[in-house]
Amino acid sequence: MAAAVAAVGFAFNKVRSAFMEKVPVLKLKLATFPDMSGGSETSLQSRLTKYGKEKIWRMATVGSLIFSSQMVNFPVNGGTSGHLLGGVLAALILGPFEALLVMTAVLSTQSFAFGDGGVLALGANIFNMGIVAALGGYYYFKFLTKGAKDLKKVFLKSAFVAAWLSVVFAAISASFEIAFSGTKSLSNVLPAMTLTHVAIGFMEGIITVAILSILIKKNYKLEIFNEEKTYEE
Amino acid sequence: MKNNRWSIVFITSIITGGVLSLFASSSPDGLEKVAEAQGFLDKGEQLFTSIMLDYQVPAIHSEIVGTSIAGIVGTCVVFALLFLAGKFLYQIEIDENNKEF
Repeated sequence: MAAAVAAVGFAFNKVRSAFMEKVPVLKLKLATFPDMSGGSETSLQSRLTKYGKEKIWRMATVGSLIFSSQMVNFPVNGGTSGHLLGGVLAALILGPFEALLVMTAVLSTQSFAFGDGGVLALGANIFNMGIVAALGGYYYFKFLTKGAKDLKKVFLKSAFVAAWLSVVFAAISASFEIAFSGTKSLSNVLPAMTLTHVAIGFMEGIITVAILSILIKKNYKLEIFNEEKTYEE
Repeated sequence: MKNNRWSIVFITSIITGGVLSLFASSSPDGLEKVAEAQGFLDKGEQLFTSIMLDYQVPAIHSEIVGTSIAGIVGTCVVFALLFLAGKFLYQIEIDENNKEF
């Protein structure tokens, strides 16, 4: 019995540390990410400065918004509640790698300061909510809007679907981790996790769309539109 | 100031963390519910006890005030963390640009 518990613990740690390693690599990419947009030209220097300052503010405020809205649990059905994940929201406002960084900061604060999620599970949480939901969410959105001529027209619809997908995929990936760590078999966990998160995903989609439409109405700068412009130049 | 636009978002999130979080549903969330139903909620391991466990401040006994303060503190911590991270990344960016000239 003790051996089984130890094995579970070992498996947990192994899965988690494997995921932990992925994060620094991606963070390094972020550090060089702005350079890809041609930041090394002299004429762009001052513009970059302004852009960078604005970006820092944007990252910090969106991060705090996601943290606080993750605290607000809404009831879903029959004694279950859900809360905003914010992956797609962050990815659309900030861009994919910045979103991953934001999610990492939010999840670290939750686990270290509030004991929510746990420090041992942090790696897995970052994988599920950072990589699968935020980084992945950006690419679900890109995939959905691939053929669209007018991004603004399909923007909110696609954001809703991407947000829903991000929650469901994060839940599926979490169930695989739970099964892989030997806690419970996949056939037990996967259907239960997926079903509850299908409902939670709807709320995620609604909240994401609501926040995005407010930001668009007030003419906030969103990375997803910004990017289209840089391609045109 | 252009930054003001985003400060509104920050103020909104402080309000969300401090006030709206009080109205949060206390039912277990998606993962907790499944974990409870299938009996592996207790299998989670705690490496060390956090300072503000379960969004409560130790010195304050009122649950409402505790949650509210925890929400505001957490929001500020995330903000500071990301602001510093952004500053740090931005610094690297500037250094790299300067090297080329």
